Amino acid sequence: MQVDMNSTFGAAIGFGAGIYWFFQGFRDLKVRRTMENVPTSKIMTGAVGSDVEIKGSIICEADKLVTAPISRSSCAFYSIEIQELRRKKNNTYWHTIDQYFSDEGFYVDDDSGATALVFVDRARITRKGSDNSYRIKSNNFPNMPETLTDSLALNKNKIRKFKLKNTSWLFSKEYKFIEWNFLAGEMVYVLGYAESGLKLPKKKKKKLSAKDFSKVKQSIKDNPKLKARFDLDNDGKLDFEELQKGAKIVADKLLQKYSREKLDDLLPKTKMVFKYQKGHHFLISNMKETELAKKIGLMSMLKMWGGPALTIACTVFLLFQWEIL
Amino acid sequence: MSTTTVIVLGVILFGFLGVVGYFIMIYNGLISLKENIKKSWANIDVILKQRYDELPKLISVCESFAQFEKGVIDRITKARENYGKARSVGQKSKASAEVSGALMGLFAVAENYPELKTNENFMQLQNRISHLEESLADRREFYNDSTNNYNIRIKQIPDVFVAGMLRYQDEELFEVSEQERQDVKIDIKLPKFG
Repeated sequence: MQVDMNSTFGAAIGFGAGIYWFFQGFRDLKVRRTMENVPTSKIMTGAVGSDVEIKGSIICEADKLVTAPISRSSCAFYSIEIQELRRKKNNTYWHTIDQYFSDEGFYVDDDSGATALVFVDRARITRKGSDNSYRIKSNNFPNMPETLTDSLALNKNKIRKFKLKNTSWLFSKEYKFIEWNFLAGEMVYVLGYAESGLKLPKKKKKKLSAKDFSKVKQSIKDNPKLKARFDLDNDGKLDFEELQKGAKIVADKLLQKYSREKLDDLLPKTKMVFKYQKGHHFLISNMKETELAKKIGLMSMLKMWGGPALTIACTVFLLFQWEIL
Repeated sequence: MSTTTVIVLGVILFGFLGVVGYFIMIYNGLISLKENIKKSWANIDVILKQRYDELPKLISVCESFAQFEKGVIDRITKARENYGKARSVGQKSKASAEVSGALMGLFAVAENYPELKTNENFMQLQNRISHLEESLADRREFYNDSTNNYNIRIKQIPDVFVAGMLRYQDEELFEVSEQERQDVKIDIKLPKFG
């Protein structure tokens, strides 16, 4: 008996994948039924504490817009998925190693007089429209667009596996960056567990570290204009109290400029907060509800029929391989 | 064992799993629809209760104006009493419509009393009640959508079989009062030119 290990392994994976798709199909069908069963709520008056569906447009103030690093379009929110080209024997495939978002979430306004805050973590995001991608080898990182380099640097805390480190040609790896974004004013559909905006934690005001504070003091000493401005008794030199007071003012300005939390500004108007909750579906889409329901329904049918067909086919193949049939 | 046997066994196994899974999904779906109706009704009830609690304050402010029309106040008092006695969704929806109608009448009559219209307490209560009425309208819409979804589901195939087993029947909608359905007459007197 001669067994081809490669095809046996492939058939075993197909067998498992078929069963997985079968159950996944049921899950999708359940999502579709939930979409149909939950009526659309108004943000202002809708009841929270369970599955809530809203439809509205993404809002973002002009000074809070971000620049998407690959398309360079001005948007309210973007996502970057980092993929690495991997090789397995004769085949190559793209493997996702990291994904980050420009922010924790975004605001939705449905013209009811209130806004909803949507935290995107672990949400199932289904989009229409194409993605933008950029491919580069790690030995070529210095030639990467500046916007992408800046975005990676700004979000380095959210990136776990990917390292922006230039390598030699010999050890280079190929990476792909896939970007999608939500524009300000874009209509979105959100279904998920919502809670009251009152439960949002109040963020502590950030303080400048002692090291940075002394840097600020030094920069005041080095800058004649600032020095003159904080010399309150006009004696031509800055005494300890004047310097301390001036450094505090400059530090506050710097914090305001660089540490303003975008999501804090619209909090008073926020009546609903969407976030992932175990046991609840969490969907975000820029598609219309009917389009999305149709798409999910079609996917569920494909999985529910295709999964068993694959499993049966793989079973027959395996039985042939093992000469049972 | 032949290939056909394996395929037939596979189809039977997945078919059985599919039917059981689908049945469970429909069953759970109908239960959650029914619970959604209960929850959306409870959310309306909260607003109705808040409005019910605000009415005595409104009545007492109006009564402080000796010349205020007693018939209007009596109508609100009676509507409030009827709401207090209501138990089922139908009764509460009818009593709520009566309260809404009486309130609309009161606010319309109040237009003829400039002192009452500018009274701070009255203005606060009017704002509060208007806000409650808005919330009530939105939640009523939500309740009716939930009920409508449920009423459609229990008549559709295959849900109809599971609904029959559970003896589920149509749920009542929250009806809008006759007064709220009537068009508002706007009489704007435009200046004549020429």
